[in-house]
Amino acid sequence: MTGKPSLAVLGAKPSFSELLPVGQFYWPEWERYEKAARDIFSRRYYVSQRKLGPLVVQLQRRLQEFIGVKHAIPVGSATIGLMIATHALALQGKVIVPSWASIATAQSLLWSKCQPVFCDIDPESQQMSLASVRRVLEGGGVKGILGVHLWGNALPVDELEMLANDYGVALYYDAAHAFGCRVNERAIGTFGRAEVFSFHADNILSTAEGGCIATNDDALAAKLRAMRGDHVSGTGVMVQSGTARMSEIQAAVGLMMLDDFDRNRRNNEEQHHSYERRLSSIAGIKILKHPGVTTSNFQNFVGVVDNSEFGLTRDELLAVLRAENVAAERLFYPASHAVSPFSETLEHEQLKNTEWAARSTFQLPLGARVTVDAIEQICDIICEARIHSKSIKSVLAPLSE
Amino acid sequence: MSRAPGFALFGGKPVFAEAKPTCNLYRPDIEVFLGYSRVLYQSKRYTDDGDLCRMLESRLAEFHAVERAVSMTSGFWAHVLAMSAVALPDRQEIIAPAFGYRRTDDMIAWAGYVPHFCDVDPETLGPSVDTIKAELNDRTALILAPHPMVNCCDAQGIEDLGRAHGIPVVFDSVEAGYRAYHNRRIGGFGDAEAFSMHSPKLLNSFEGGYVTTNDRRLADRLDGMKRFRLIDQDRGKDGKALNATLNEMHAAMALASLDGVDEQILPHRRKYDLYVAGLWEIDGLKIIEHKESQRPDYRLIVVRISDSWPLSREDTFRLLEAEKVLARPYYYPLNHKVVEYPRVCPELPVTEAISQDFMVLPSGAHVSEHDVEEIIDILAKIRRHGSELKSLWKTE
Repeated sequence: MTGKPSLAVLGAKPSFSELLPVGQFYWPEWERYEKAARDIFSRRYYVSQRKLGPLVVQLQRRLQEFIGVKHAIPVGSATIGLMIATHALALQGKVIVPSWASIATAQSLLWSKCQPVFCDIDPESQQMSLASVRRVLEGGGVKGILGVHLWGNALPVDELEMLANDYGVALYYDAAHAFGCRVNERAIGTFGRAEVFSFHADNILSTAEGGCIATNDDALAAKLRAMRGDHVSGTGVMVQSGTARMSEIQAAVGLMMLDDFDRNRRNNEEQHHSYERRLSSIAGIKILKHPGVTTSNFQNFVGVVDNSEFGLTRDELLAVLRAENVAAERLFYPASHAVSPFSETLEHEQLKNTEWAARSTFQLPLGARVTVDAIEQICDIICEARIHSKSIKSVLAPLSE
Repeated sequence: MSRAPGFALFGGKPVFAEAKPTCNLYRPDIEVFLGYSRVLYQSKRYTDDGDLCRMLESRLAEFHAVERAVSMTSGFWAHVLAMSAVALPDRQEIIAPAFGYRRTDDMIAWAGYVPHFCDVDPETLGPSVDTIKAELNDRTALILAPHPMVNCCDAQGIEDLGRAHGIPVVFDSVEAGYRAYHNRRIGGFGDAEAFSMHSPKLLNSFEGGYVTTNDRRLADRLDGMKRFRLIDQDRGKDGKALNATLNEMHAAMALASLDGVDEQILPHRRKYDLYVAGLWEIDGLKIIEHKESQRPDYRLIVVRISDSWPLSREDTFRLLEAEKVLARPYYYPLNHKVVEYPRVCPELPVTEAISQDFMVLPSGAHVSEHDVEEIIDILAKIRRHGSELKSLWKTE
């Protein structure tokens, strides 16, 4: 590890010949995809029209069983799923949401005349902070809480539920990262009024784009189904519809990914442990764990750089990795409250921890595109980056000016 | 029973074993679809502006002879984003006909505006310069002009009207993708045009849509709005954005459909010609003719029911449905009659007078030329037994 540095940022050849992206990217083998496509073409049933397509029906049933929830409603896009859920809950006014989340979460509220009020996060778990949520609730005028389970971990669901009940506000969740996670054997998807999963290719269960809304509330489910737009007329529910149909080919891929779920989750867990073994002993790198869940899907590997101990800032470390063709990411950067239109007018909590997380947190590649060997190489790069931090800084300094 | 011989509604055997819908459900060549799918297997990119999406967008721009096409998750959200992006932000209303796509007002509501309904032209069944002009006021933020199921509305006139009044125009061109107006391809009129590739439409991407425009800056803005990519620029009214990305599987399907689009026209034309010839003989039903000068795709069959037709439209549908002929009403119910949110609805005399006079008959990939002949036979039989059927229902 000592001697002549082999880092690309210092002039060596990059470790990887092609870019290694962050994201799960699990996908069925060609033969399975081809068979599914041929079946769909021969049935000539491409997408739900007056009736739900057979594969969407099957996926819906399998998801309901898997999650243990009464209604799992597949949708073509998770963001539109969140928009529809917000609308179906008839929320108007202030809704508490963490700034430290995908911009999609806060954006979903704007489509329903809701005003996002950003809360801060807990610095340990980086999930939304209960104390911060409570402070916003005490300020009054709040109509709902849109909780976000980040990175295979979960929010303190019981405490949040109690808070929501105490203040009489609706609680629902963006569960984009949490498919297959459990809290004391109860699956994510069963908490709050509704939970919205994302089946974007970045997440463990992929339908390329897409997601599903899970709820145990029959009336809400009827409204959501009517809004989704595939059989509006049949439900007798008068609503503002918003097309969010999942196609049959998306459902076919979703079903295959559900078949592969255990294997992919195990693969994630192994990769997670590989990273952990190597990185947990490096001073200045802290790995985020999953204390909020009893079972995690391990779909994201997230860490925090302490500049003073590691010798490099988070952005400098990412530049080192980028030079090696590792597309490690800054996650939600900038945090939602600092992005237009939210940066302009909105009131929010003090977001000290969010600001800190936005400066210091990073995500490493994990999933189908990554091997254990690649992880070893990435960890070597990080170890070396620490050792050669001084020379790296001198190389990178002119660039950042 | 003997007075209504053989109708399935009265216990006879249905003419068709399999339902005959009005939607296209075009099936492109599976090998072509799989060929495109190989691209996503090579790139391992399943969404987020992958190679197939980009290829599709340039092919669509070429198809419509416009600067840019921006792919979207569905036609619905293509409309919402196009309207959000171009409507005047300090105004409140969007003018659109009540006699149109059933969820027009839902799209307008998501965009954050109030629908202001206008009447239609009795000849084109679409909005006209006059019907729109009658509703223009200082709250008008946008004109949403849908092309009817058959032929074009006065796209040039409406474009000019918008320009003269400084009001942006978006065309709902969902049914008009193949057409041309005054020798200009549909796609380049107004500020933007919105399309659907939902499987019942001419182009089948399973599910999907797109917006065309000659305004590159608008195209960039739409591209940002659908992917949360704009940080400091205006995202449209209230700075709204969403994820409306078309995934790569759907882009592969769209490309395969686009490859086969010209080959669809002749079969559609043959069936249309059979309908024209067959309906000519049936008193009370009159087909709306596709105008050759407007580069029709001949896909949709819209029929006007006149007073001399013996039955109501609903009773006609009941008889047809029992035979598994899934004819449907042309844009019904009217938009201003459906959901209770704010809207502006003036008197719409033409719409009220004609809105129940039209029906759409089966066509598309599930319907053969022979099927068309059978459907004409059923209609002729209804005509022949009209008075018996009428008296039969009266006594019920």
